[in-house]
Amino acid sequence: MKKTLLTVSLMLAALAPAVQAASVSFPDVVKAKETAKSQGKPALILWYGSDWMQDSAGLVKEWNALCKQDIPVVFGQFDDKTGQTSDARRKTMGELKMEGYNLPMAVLLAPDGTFVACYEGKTVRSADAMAKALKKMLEKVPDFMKKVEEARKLTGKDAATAAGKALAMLPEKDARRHKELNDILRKQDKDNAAGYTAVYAMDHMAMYKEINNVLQGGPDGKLKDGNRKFAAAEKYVLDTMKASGLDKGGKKNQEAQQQWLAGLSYVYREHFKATKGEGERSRLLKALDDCIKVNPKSQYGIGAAKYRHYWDPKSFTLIENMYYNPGDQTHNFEKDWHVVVTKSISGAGTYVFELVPRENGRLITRNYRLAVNGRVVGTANSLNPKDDTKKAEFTVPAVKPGDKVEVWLTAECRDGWFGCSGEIKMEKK
Amino acid sequence: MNPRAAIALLGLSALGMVPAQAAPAKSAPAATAPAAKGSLPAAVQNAIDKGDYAAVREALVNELKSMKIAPDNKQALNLSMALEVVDCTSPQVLTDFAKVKDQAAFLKAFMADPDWQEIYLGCGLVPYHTDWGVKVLYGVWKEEGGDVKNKPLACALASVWGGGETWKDPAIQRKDPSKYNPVRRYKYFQRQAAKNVLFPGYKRLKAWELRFVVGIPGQDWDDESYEWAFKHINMPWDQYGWACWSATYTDPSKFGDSVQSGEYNLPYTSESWAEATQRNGGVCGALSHFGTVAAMAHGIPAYTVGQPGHCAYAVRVKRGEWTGGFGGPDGGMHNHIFGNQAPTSYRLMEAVYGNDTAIARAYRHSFCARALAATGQDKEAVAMWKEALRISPMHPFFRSALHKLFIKGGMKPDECFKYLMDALPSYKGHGVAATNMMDDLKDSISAMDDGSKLQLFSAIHKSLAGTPASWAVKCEDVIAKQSEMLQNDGAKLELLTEAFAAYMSNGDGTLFGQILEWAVKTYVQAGKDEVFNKAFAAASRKAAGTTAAGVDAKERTKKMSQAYGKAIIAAEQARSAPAFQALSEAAMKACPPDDVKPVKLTKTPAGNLAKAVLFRISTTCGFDSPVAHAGILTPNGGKCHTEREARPNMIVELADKATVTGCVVRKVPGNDWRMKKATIATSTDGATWFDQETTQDMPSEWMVQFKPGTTAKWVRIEFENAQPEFAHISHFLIYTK
Repeated sequence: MKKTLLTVSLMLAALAPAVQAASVSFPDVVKAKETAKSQGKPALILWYGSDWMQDSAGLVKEWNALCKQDIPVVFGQFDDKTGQTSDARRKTMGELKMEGYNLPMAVLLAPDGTFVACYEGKTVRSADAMAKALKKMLEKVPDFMKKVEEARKLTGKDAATAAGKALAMLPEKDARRHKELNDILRKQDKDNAAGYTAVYAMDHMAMYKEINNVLQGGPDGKLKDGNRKFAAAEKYVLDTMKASGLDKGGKKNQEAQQQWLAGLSYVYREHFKATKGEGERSRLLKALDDCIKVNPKSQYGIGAAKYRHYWDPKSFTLIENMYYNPGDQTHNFEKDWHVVVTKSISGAGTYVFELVPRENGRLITRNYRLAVNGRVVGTANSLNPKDDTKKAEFTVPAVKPGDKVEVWLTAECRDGWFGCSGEIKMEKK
Repeated sequence: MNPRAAIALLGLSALGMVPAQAAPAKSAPAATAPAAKGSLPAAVQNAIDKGDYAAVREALVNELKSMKIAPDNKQALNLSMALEVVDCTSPQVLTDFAKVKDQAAFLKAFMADPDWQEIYLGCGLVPYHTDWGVKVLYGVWKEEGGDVKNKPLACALASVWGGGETWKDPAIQRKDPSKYNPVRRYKYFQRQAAKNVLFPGYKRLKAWELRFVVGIPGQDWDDESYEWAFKHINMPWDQYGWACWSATYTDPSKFGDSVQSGEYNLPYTSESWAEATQRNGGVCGALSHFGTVAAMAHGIPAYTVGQPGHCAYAVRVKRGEWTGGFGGPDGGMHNHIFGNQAPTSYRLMEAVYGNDTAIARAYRHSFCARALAATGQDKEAVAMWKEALRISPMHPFFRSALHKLFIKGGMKPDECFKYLMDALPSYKGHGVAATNMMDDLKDSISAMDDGSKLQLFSAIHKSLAGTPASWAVKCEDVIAKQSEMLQNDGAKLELLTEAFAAYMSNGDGTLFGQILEWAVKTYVQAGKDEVFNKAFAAASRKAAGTTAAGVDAKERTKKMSQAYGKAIIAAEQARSAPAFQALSEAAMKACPPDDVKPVKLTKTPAGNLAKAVLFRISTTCGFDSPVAHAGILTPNGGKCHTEREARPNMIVELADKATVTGCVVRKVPGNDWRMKKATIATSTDGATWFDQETTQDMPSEWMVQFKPGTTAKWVRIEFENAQPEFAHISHFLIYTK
């Protein structure tokens, strides 16, 4: 009996909260939505976890402060507690038409329950930041709902125009995840006649599906490699961007702009891969540059910069930690590596540079050179630049403290993504 | 490996924990290390001071020879553990490692700390004949200034990086040490634990459990991923099985690359794997790693698991209870102690280590058993191993060590028979483990007469049949090897009969399906249907508790139909297309369903009827006719019937992935009202489903045209009911281009 009790208490302890439970006293989602509807006010639902979340006490304090401010919303809560059944959780999430993996977050709903916006990160943990964001958004809710109502009643392009105008009032990330309005766009305006479907309701997978359809000559087309319809695909992307106002730049709908510019770069890249033409490569790099320019810090901006580096023949890969990773390599074409070996140099002499594979993929490495402060000062001893080798010997001259010593080589991985990686050594002979 | 190079490889230099050049740090932790906890004999201490671990070993053995080696003799126990550390790591490896002054100081501290050694040696996998284990412990010791505050955590990291005798080179050893660093992981978990922000159960995890928190030896993600996941994924502790969906399932990538290409991950390689996956999305492998690392970053044990054409994961918030994420927890584990096959491996692990007190006692006996063997006292070592196994009967490494002594001592077949028959009952519910432990003794088993073998093999099948299984447990080899060991055909037939009977009487049907599949391949497909049918019929009689005499033909057909039905369902659950096909074909001959009439469909989609190899039903019930399932895949039709369910479903598996144009599904007439809301979905991996069409009111014959360019290997129909309800169809035909 003692043992059983001990086991039970241990099991309960395993799920015991790590933090002191702290909760707000708002009504639950269903009640908050009912009150919002009856009072004609938006509902603001705090979604958190009182018995497991980090600093739930701090969050509760901020939200108790927030609800004392004069903000015309009905407060509600969904406490995503440890041990709650998945059915209960899904039911509530289904009502909100949301899912969240990084709580806390807050969801703003129109008086009739329509999703308006979502607040996460630092904003949701600060009463002041929430108040500021809410005030800005609440001003738009009446007009937003007017357009939503229109979209619900109308059909075809008119419905899509109303839905698109409603979405245009929301932050882009909320607009792109607005299920109801995007469903209207997809259903009523599949061909993007109103210009909003491509902005909000086509994610990158839908976009590439359309691009690939054009490239291969239609949904059932079988064109391959260099025979694909690159000009038609380019026209499709450019026309879509123009029809959707994504060709004008600006701060509005930056994610959509970047998505379609990535799509354009894909068309050029496929063309380049098929033809190896420098013109195609230039267009590819230009499209990536344009993508970066829209917002260098966004997900697309960061990715495009890395991608541009990869495809740019003039760029080189800088390796500073004496280890080459899959991300350092080009696949099936060569790129220069600049391996910083300064720390391995202890005076003039003969040094052996070696690549020691950990994942023994087919890595072609040749054209070894020694550079000091970015200038080539010699080549590998007794080695033809064309020799594919993992080991090279250098005569390193005397260098001053602060000089940067590098081994340059050209490399190309002819294996899968994880095929080539390893340690780099530079040791005095 | 040169010890200095080893440290460089581990990346400790990069972290500033070890000086870049050969000279050791001026203030090595040794100077400030706490006083030794255990007192070592002078001869042992002198050898340690000299850094000569061959001499250390010799001194330990000499000391142990002069005392009673038993767990209740503390000095003997401590020396036995020290000896095991030396033998496990190898004297030469330790001698090389001790050549660096700081490292020698660490070894002195470690060798004098029996509590630490006990945790290290009991953490599951102990790094074997490698310096990886001591390198990791040294890194932590150095980081902590000689006073390691969380030894179980340090040992878990050593085990993850170092592997063990049965897993010598986990892939994590080949990762970039500047990004996959055990010392950084140690600091991460210590920091989070100090802030009290980890899963509450984390504090109670033992070293063997912490192995599933600190890294994934087979396919890890970088240190930064743990930091990132902690900040960006925050869910209730018991819901990390869903965390994978925080990243988008996407193919192609944001830049249009297929997941099969080398460029898919390229745009986000500067970030941690976790951040890159959320930015870029991924498919099953990336998402399952994402969910796993998110759980681990919060101190929750988790592992990723390979499945055919898929990758899933598992998490554990209660000791002993692994739950799946993205189709887990079964398959090939990327982190494991007792082999990679889940659920066998994790169930055995939980059973072996589940009782803290017992396993600690068993380990102490094991240290003494090894010391006894090392001092030439084999007979006493055997007795000590038996005592360790009495306390922890299923520990595979203990069994293996005992078996080595048996083999060394020239075990006779009759002794082997008695030993195994005595051991088997303690493997109740762990039949696969029972089978595996016998591998060491296969020569002795081979030397037994057929009668003994049959008795033993029959006991094994009874044990296997009583073992919870899953599609991921494979045991066809067991019967294949047993059959090979038998001398005459009569004994082989008897074995097959016993095996069939065991699985017909017990078990969830999965292993039955596998044994059937083997039997079909071995006998039916080799033209020996007679043997198969004879064994099958005899087993059916045994399982039913009746004999052939007195059973009329109609009754026999009914029993055969039931047996085949069970086998077909088992084949479906086992996802075994060959068994499903062979059994369906055999069943149609032996006991054809009498209530299925050919029906002609009124319309079909464009294209050709695809070759389907397997039909699976979500549940079965008394109204089901599994022998008629195969007919559902043919124009003539068949029949199936689920249990009452909220979402009953049926899945068709095609022979190959193909461009599919559509499908047609026909209800079994009668009670049509049951199947209203239905969705047809397709999949290329059997786990991720893409809806093709949903209807709120399914007609009796429903034809669905798929989206152009749809490829699939699996097609599913799922009914959605407000209240649990039956579902029953007669046709489910897929068409290809």
